Amino acid sequence: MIGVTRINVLWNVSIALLLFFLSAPLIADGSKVPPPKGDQCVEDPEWMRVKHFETVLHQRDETVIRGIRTEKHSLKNCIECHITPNANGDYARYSNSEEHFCASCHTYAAVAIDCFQCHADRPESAIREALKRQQADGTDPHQGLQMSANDLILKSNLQSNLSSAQSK
Amino acid sequence: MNKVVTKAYQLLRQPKAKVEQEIDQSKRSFVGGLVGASGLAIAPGVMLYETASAKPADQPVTNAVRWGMLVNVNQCTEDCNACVTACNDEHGLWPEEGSTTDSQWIRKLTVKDPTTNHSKSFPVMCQHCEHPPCVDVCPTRASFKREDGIVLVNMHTCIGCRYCMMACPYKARSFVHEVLENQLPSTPRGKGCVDSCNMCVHKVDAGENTTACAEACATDGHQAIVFGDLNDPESEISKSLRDFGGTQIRADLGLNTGVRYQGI
Amino acid sequence: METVRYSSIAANSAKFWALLIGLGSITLIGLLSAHHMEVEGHIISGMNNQIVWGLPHVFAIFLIVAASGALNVASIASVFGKVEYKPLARLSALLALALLAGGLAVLVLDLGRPDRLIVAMTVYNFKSIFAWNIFLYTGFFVIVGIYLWWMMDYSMQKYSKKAGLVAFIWRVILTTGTGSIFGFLVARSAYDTAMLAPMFIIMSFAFGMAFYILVLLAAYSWTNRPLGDFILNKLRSLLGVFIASIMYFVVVYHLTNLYATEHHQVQKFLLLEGGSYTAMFWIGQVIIGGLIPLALIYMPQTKNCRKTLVAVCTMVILGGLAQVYVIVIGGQAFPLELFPGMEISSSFFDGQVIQYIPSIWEILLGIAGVAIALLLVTVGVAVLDFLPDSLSDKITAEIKK
Repeated sequence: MIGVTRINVLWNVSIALLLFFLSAPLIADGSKVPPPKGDQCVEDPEWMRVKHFETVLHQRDETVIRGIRTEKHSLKNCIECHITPNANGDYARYSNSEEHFCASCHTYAAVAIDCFQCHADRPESAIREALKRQQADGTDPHQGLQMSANDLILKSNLQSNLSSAQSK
Repeated sequence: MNKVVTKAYQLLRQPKAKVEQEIDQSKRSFVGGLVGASGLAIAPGVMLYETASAKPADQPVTNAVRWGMLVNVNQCTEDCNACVTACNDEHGLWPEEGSTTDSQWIRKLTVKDPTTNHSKSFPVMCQHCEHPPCVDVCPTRASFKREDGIVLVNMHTCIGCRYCMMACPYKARSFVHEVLENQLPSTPRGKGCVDSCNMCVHKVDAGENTTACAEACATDGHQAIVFGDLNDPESEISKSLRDFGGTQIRADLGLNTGVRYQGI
Repeated sequence: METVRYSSIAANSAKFWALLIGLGSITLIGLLSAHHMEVEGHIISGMNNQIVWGLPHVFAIFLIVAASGALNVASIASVFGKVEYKPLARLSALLALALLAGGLAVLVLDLGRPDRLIVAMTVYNFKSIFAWNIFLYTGFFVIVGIYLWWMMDYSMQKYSKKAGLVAFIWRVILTTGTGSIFGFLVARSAYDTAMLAPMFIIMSFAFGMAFYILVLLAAYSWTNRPLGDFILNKLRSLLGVFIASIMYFVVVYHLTNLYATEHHQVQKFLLLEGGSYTAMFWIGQVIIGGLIPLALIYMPQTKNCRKTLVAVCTMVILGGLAQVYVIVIGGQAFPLELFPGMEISSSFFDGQVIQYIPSIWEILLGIAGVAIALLLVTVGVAVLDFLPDSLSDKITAEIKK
């Protein structure tokens, strides 16, 4: 037990230290992350920097399993407030580690998360708009391998597999 | 106690409009909202608003309700696809035509009797069983039934073994075969997990008391899909089932589905 | 027992290293394929929303079933008291562990989210046969591991018989569990039968024995150790009995289904109209996996011919893969009957038989499972004393006395 506690303390201290140094480049003028919508986070920012993953993890099970959907700690709400358009009106994606609020820090701290493999990394309005633009361009909103219906039925064919792999 | 009442008042007054306002409000709400939640349930006076509107956001769903849908096949037309389109738009699915790998949460099924050539077309989706085979077989409990009867996949613990797809008698589930983009905030889904109709759980939890398919069907003037509480004898769905009866697909399996059909 | 001496094989020959590098490369290619499939998603496999379990599952289930069967030889010595099998027991247990490891590797790497394996190991739904199997598989490793240790540690040898009995019981339960993965799927016409569990047990006997004989023959001929005809003929005739038993079960399975009118469609599909599945059944499973091996085993002309035995075992393995393919993929290809007796159609391919052609990545992953198993055996026999110095007829005769 003692060992576990010590590790916890060490962990928290090191995270805190890391984030202390980390916050410097973020706060500095060099940051490319557009400012959030509000002027005050739902929790104290210092607390949030150290603990936000616990909050998100807790809320996720509460929401999925028990249907509790308070907005305060919901990931959807984090995104709505923190992900804002840049000067050109474009929203950063998580894959853009410099401009996306979450990615900027996670990249710096070398934290790999898989939240945004499923969750939206932009507010709904931004996604709907992007989809509308895609439809206007004539591209299907479906984002998979762009194949014809015939190709898809034959897609398991060895040949098409090899060629699709090569094209990547 | 005072806090509890304040919180209840805030919830009552909570506008559904602008995001800025919502965030502003959460800022004002007291710390530890979940602790307050347990107090809410037993606080006097709070029950008042519970009956007045839907489940408050900070309360868990209960088995007092069992959500279900009733499809009146006679009101459903063969060439209409409104429910399917609405579902795809609501959840950001957009399956490509002819694709064997894209997710389809709801589909129009055509059933033809080969002895008479009589045929019917109606939507089939996850049937939200009371005893779901997908939940039985899931090794990690990722496939689960919510207290209010909605069968869901917890994509945080789904390992993508696809045993649920083998077990489902209704072919209701899809496996996400590729990296997805542009998922909508209310329907997170991604590569390597199984997904299926979630009975628009985000709408249900928001108290909208409907699903995208039922809404679209009504807008189109067919009113073939009724969403409601099977536990409430006074709900439209229960009354209709009581008065006109209803069948379950593969009733022989004894799964007691939450989606029922009339006129099959 | 003093007459049997065990030793590890010399790990310095060019042949040994060639084998090691060969198996290692196949394993590596398989792992890279699995990685590619994880990055791109199952879109690069032949699987789809109708055929949800593809070729990797065929290999995985085949290897897991064969693993429990490979333990047979050890069980015959420890549980059924046939002392002449005793010298074969160590290799039997090693092969069982290796085949299970190979099968599980394929199974796990084919998951949609193999990175979440920890979830499967920590969260259990005790109603799921998959969850039981996680216990059965890990338990198998522990029990057979202890059994091996007690067999090989002189001071513990007196207990090894008891461990052998526990291992035997465990492997019967394990194969029942594997068969039940399918047997409990009430909604699928081809699976909904308790026949599958006992059929999987008898399948395991044959597949495991075929693997065992091949490994034994390879190990003894490549290391120039004497291997007598007496023991080989014993194993050969056992294999014959197992193949015949599989065929009996297959006949009963199809006959019971043919008796019920509601199952006529699925039987017609598998036996007559299923295209590749029908071909796989008759040519792969029945002729190559059953009739030809049986004939070769019981023909007096081929009695002591080792080349024939190698051919027989290879055919049993290929036929076995065909059988698992027909069960796993043929069973899924037949459409679900949402409305029995009606013709159904939809954009989701209801009522249609879906083509499945495995992609190169699946094939490479599946073969890697076999390579992993053989790699483990190769390393095992080079590191520890698994193989008797001699299995000549003279030694076997002395043990029997």
